[in-house]
Amino acid sequence: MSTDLKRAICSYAEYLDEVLPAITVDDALVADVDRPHRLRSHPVWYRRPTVVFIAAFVVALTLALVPVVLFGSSGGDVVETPSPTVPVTTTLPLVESLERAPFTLIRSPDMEPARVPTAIGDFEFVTMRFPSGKEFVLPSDLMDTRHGPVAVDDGTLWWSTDHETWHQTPIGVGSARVTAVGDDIVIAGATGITRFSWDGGEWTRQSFVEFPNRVDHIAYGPRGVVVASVNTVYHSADESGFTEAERGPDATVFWASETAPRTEVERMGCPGTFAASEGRIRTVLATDVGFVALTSAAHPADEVCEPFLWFSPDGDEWTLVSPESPFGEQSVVRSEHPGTDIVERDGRFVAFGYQGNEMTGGAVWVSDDALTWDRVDAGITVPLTLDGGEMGWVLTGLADDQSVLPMWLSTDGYVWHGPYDLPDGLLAGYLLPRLAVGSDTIYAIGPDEQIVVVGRLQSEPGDRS
Amino acid sequence: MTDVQAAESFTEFVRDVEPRLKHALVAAFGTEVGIEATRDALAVGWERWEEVREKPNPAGYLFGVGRNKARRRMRRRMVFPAPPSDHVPWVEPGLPGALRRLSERQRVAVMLLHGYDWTYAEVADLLGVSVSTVQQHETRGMAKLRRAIGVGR
Repeated sequence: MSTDLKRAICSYAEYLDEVLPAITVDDALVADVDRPHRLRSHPVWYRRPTVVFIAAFVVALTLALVPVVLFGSSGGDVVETPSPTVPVTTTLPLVESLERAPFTLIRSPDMEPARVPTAIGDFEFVTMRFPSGKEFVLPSDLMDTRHGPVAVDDGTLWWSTDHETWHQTPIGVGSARVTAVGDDIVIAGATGITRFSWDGGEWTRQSFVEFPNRVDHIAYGPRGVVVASVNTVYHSADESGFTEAERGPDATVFWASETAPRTEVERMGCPGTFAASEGRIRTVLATDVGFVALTSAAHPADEVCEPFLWFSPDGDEWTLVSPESPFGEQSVVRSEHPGTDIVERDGRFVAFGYQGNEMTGGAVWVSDDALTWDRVDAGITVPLTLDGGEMGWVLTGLADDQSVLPMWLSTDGYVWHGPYDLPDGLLAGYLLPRLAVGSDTIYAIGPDEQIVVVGRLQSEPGDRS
Repeated sequence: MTDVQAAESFTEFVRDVEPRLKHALVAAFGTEVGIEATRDALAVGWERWEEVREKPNPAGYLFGVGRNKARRRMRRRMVFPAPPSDHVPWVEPGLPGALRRLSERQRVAVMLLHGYDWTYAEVADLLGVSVSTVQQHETRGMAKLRRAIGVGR
């Protein structure tokens, strides 16, 4: 028996009880529950927007002054590489020469393949683990390509042609998301975008464009490419030279005016935006006739509530489509991060989030032009992730208060089937799994149990008896 | 039920359920997010008190609410503070880090069973799983902890 270990856990629990505050009824009544219809209450003093803003300002000022105080105004001996003031196509960044051997995932001996019948066919899910000595990696983005799945972790491209043996290729700069562009992939993230091509045996770097700031969103379409970097939009016809938009989406429309600091934001029906002091570009999308950007107020919970849409035919001049959000009142759209992006396939866009109450108001929206959106009934109360690929779209979410993550499938965005069980170990835990959808495959990397799951479509619905 | 009666019954409910809810959410998500999730869950409990009080397992329901709230904050770091070295009773210094590396359900099972003396049935009730599932999580969690900090062998 592990008496010592149990005693250690007991001692630690005692310690936690000493340091953790008791939550009283009063605390519960003033909790900052960021959802529409919440109880109107006065935030505790340290959560008041003004206090948060002043605290953030003081911290930022302090951090800015520390080098001056320590090293004088010259900044000491630190020599920084100058960042460009405009995007520039430059030489490929140097990468570390460290040899990174491929590794092969191990099929979990204690987990039989799981067969899951669905409306679009039966899936067989195989669960695998990282080999011993190889640390588990939860990539920041994961997608399927014509040459197998790829994933990006900070500064590394992971790729596989058979789903089991994975190779690692250094990117040279930090990375956050990967986008398919024809047969190539483009990796965006810290200060630039890097294009990779498949040379028949591996992914090789082709070009690099450096930006003045981090690259948040990127969209390729028939009209070229646009990049959202912080709140600046750049556009290019062919990725060779980027130009800052002459008149980009105006995120300041969400700012509260000095004369009526709360009126402007409260009209949107998003109580959480009462603290808005800035707006943000939340995503950019490419359509057949131009580009669409979503902007919303920024606030402490960072929810994309009732976003406004902006349209540009060329990425240069953007106009507000409507003074009202096309997603409806009290709508929150998940649209900012890999796994929660708006997903396009064959010209159709699918978005998800909630409307009204986040615990019960799960919502899915569909659009064929990214400007007008229809809310459809997917029958899911708390959607958490959305991914898409040649096969269709896959949503995961919560059903009741279970931890195990079910999925919902759709081949047209309008009709959703599910919930279907995903294999044990794919939990909605502290971090959500990363998913990718291919032509007949669903990939999932589950951080909680540290597993990789590959689900293959075994049969068409008509093939089943 | 009048507003006063509702407030009184909710106050009594909080007094009874708060320690258990807090222990479970802190075990699942760490101290920072766990405390906020507890506060949020109780706020929802008050907002929907008429509905919540009629549920067969209100604490389990609010644990689910708090868990969903915590997941909305998933970009935050999971925190398990390390006690000072002179703390009495002495606490194994590797334990907070090792707990962080367990899966959520393993951590909840281990902490509630051995830190706070819950029964298997109570943990199963909270998580909405069977007792045997809780036993599996506890066994795997304890094995991981043993390997991580090398005690109890």
